[in-house]
Amino acid sequence: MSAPAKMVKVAIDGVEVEADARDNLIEAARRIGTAIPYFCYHPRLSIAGQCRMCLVETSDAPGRLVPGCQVRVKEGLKVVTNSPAVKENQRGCMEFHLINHPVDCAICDQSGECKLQDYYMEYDHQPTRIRTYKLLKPKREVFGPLVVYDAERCIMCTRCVRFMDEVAREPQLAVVERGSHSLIATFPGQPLASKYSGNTVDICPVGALLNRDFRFQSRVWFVDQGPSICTGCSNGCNVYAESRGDRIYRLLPRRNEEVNQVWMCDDGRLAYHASDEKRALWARIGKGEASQSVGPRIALERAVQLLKPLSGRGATGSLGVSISAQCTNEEAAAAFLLGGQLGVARYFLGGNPPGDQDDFLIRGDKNPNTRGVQLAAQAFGVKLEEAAGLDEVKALIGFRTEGLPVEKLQRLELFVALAQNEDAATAESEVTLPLQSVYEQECSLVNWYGRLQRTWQAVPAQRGDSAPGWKWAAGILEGLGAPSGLKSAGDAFDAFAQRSVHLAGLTFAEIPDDGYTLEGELPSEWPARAPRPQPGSPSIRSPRPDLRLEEETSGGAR
Amino acid sequence: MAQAFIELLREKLPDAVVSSHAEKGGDDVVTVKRERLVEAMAFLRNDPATDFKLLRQIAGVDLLTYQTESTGGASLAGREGPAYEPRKKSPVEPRFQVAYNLYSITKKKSLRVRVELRSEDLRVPTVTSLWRTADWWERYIFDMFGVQFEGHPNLQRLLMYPEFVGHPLRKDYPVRKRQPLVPELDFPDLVRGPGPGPGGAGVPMSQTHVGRQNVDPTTYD
Amino acid sequence: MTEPSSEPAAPEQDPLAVETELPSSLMTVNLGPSHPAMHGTVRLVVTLDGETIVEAVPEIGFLHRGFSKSSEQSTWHQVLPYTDRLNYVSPVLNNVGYIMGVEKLASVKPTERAEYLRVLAGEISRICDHLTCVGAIGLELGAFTVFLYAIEARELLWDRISELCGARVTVSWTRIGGVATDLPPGWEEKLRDCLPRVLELTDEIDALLTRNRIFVDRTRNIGVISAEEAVDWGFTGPCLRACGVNYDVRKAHPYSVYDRMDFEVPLGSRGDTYDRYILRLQEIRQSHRIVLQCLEQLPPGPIIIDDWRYALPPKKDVFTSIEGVMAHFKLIMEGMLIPKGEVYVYTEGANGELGFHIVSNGKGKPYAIQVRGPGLPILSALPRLIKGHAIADLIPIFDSINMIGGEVEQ
Repeated sequence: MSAPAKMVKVAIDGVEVEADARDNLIEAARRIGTAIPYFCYHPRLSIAGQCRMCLVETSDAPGRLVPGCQVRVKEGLKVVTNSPAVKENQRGCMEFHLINHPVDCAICDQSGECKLQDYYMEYDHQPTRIRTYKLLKPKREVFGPLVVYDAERCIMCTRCVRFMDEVAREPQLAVVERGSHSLIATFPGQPLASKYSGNTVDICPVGALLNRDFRFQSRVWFVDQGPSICTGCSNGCNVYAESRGDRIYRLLPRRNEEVNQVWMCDDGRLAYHASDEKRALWARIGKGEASQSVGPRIALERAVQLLKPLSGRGATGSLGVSISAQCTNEEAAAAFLLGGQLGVARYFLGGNPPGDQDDFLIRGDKNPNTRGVQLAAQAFGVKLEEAAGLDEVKALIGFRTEGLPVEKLQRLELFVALAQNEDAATAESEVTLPLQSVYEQECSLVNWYGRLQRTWQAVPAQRGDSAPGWKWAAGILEGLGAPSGLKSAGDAFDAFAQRSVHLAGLTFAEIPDDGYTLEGELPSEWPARAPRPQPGSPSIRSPRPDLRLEEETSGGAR
Repeated sequence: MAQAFIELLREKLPDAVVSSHAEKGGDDVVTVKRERLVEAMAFLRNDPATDFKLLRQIAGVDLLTYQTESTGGASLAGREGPAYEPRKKSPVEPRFQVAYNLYSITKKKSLRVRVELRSEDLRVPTVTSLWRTADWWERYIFDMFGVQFEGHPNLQRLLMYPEFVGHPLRKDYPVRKRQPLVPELDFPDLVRGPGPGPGGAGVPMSQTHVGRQNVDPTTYD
Repeated sequence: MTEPSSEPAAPEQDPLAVETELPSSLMTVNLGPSHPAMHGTVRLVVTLDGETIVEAVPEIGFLHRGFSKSSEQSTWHQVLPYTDRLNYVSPVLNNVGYIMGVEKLASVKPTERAEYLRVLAGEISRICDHLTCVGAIGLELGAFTVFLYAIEARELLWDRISELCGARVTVSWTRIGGVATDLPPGWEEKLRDCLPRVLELTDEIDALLTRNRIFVDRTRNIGVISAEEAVDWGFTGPCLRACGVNYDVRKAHPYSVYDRMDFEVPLGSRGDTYDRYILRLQEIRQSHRIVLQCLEQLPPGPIIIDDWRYALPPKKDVFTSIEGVMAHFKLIMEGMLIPKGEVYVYTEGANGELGFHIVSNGKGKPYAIQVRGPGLPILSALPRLIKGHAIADLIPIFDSINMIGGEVEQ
């Protein structure tokens, strides 16, 4: 995409539009807000031309209708999308699609985001004309771990088949049978086990392919949608977190051409469960039988009371701080500020163990912010060690407890944990301070190739007493008599950015919505199909390229 | 229907009129410049040919989410975009419109006079010198949208209480927004019941929280 | 006279003369918001010189329930219950006014039978509103019997409304393209039976008040406003017509089927409280005429249009066909998609011109609705009306303007 796109002028319904020469008529009309309806077309898949809903009139083919998805624009083309012939075709297409469609709206998950419903109200609002029975087909067929198929609702647009062929590159779906008995099916004995099967649910225009994890959980018009970043692996796919009350119901991919296009993997879709289940919601002091829930003020007082005698013992001090690669940049910055105040010399890096990877969106590093924590460590001038070194400290403050070996924690004199979930590690902590998940706070993360992305508060509800990590750290610092002045995520980020040569004093408010590439950190090796930053996207080049971190492609957490 | 009157206004004050159009349902709308508003309104009211003596209402519209507000669930087509062009969000300006609905009893004609305002410059000259009823309508628009009416004799909130923070009918005012508590006036001779505040029994608010385990009320926050 | 006195000696002072200039100061009295004389929750801070009102500052907002903001969050039909609660004494008129605005934006014409039904129920509501006002004027001036007569008449009519619409006050009866329910069997006979009684009671009230010395003394020349000033203050409806200005939306811009109705518009001459009262009595009689004409002219036919973009499909289609269930689903969950536009629709409410400024952005929810309640301009003129009168005159003046808190404060 180095050369500028060639533009041509076309007229759509009499309005002149300057369209890209690669546009088909649907995209050209989209530029001026004219909607040409379509089922089988998708901007990122090959053209099928099956549904016939996008038929329009053009000056090139007078007296005939041509599919808007297949016809490319050319200079001087005149397109008409609202003539009586076009409208009659739209109405007729809808009628045909609805002949055998089951009366399922009341129990179908797609209600509220269903193209059939939307297009019916807009293009065909006539009663039915059939007086006979509808065709019966298999319903509730489990295709794979995440996807269930309802053949009666399927309109055979084949978007799912083309997606699995072209984008996921695992052709696990095919069309079987003929005519009105056509179905989508997997090969016998081979389920739809691709890691990208959840995307077929997104692109299915009707309720034929549904997400088993989300099925019957909530109606879509009840959920609030908020933008965030997936925490499943270091790819940092942009997502929408849909929540109602204090529970997240599903994650949907958000469009970011340079990170995940419009797709995400199945593990990421399930990553929200960590934010919903087994959360540490209330601050706790005491271990085991002696533990009790307390309010935030008392928990902070106790933490300060326990940490004060251990602080400032220099390099042989027995206090360490562990930061998980799941921490956000703000938590990491606050952790280093806290460690600095307490005179901590030993810092440890935790996180989820590495997993498998592929050449598209899945990275082996299953932590969203390894890079960010490493950059923060470099900015604050500390060295991060492995968790094996925990034998050498007597007390530990843990910012997120993933990857901390429990036996080593049991041998510590004091463990203060800031944790999002209750697990074996928080059972060993003397003071537990509850953290908000990435979906509930404004924060920033750096993905595997050095892209700084920010989140918004996607879940509006306040869960228990959980608070962002920087807020707890600021509370402890204030209790120690060294107020940090951190009043917002932006303050914590600014504290990090001002010290970092890579970020060169960027402020949180300046982070673009789509993210910011740290150019100096781009890896030299790139997985075959992973999206990459485009030239011209916002980026920042470090003034000190000699201070690069070691190369991380899609390897492990450390 | 009131097109002729718009034409008269155009003749008399040609550079005050920005545009005019007829809405469906028979409304005629003319947009005038904010600086010439009082002149234009004075002409429309006083000129015997137009005689718009009745100011029915002053309405306000906040156009911030006019393009983006939607109902129901998310439509799939809204998320699919072309593969090669990033989305751009453009700010909505002018953001506010103040519409004066006028009526002429003798001529039996309605007209809407509209003024467009940018969000950083929310000021409009008052027309209370022309119609006395504009007093409360302008207070209402000020209360709901935050538009300052220059020259208004008593520009205070009309419907909301004086300590209210914000302007409710703006589109960026969340529906479920909580207001800060108005501090209690401390009357020394008032006997109070339980709850925080001066003279109360001082029961802490956190006693009402549920879900905590092993709570010791003497040490709990 | 030869005794030294503490007061400064005034020339030619007659010791037996009564002091006519009492040293006094102005007193500020707070009326409301919870006050028997305040109709609805309105606060009047009145400054009195003895019994004369020197200044009055009304404070409103106690009944502001966020109609505009709530309607932005609801679909077009979900706004109807909110409109019921605007002028809660004549709710059908609010429904009709609002739905007419939506129909204008959608370019939808309701069925003819629905138009007649709307006028029929609307005029019954108008009679109820005027009865309430007249009864209240009587009540607060001491004529309790008048109030009971008015309430009895109102009860008869509310029984008819509740049989027709399903509720006495919170009717939510109109729909885009028609109305929700048709006349129940036997309703017309019941209405024809009760209307003479309503007129009889109205005549009783007339006989008790109109030439009653006390009533006339308390309302004649009280709260006078000239026609020009009334228009300047934004008056419409009975308060404006009492000043002699002939502006009734039903005659000036006939909407619905009012152009087929034969009725007169009573006019006053002085613009005082007495005229406003008389006007309302006569309007009851005119509305009665319209009701009878509606009953005669009522055509058979459907009560709602057959377009599934705006009207719900019949239940048999909803449960047996995909088109029906999709239409039903989308209409309920998303709302009717009303095309983009902006309209100010005005109808004759019971207290004056009831206007709705409706903005649509093409979606199933209104983008913005603002109500032009006829009571707001009249209430803003209240200080002008009561200044100079005694505080006891505040009561009949406030009654006669019939300020309904719901429509003033949305």
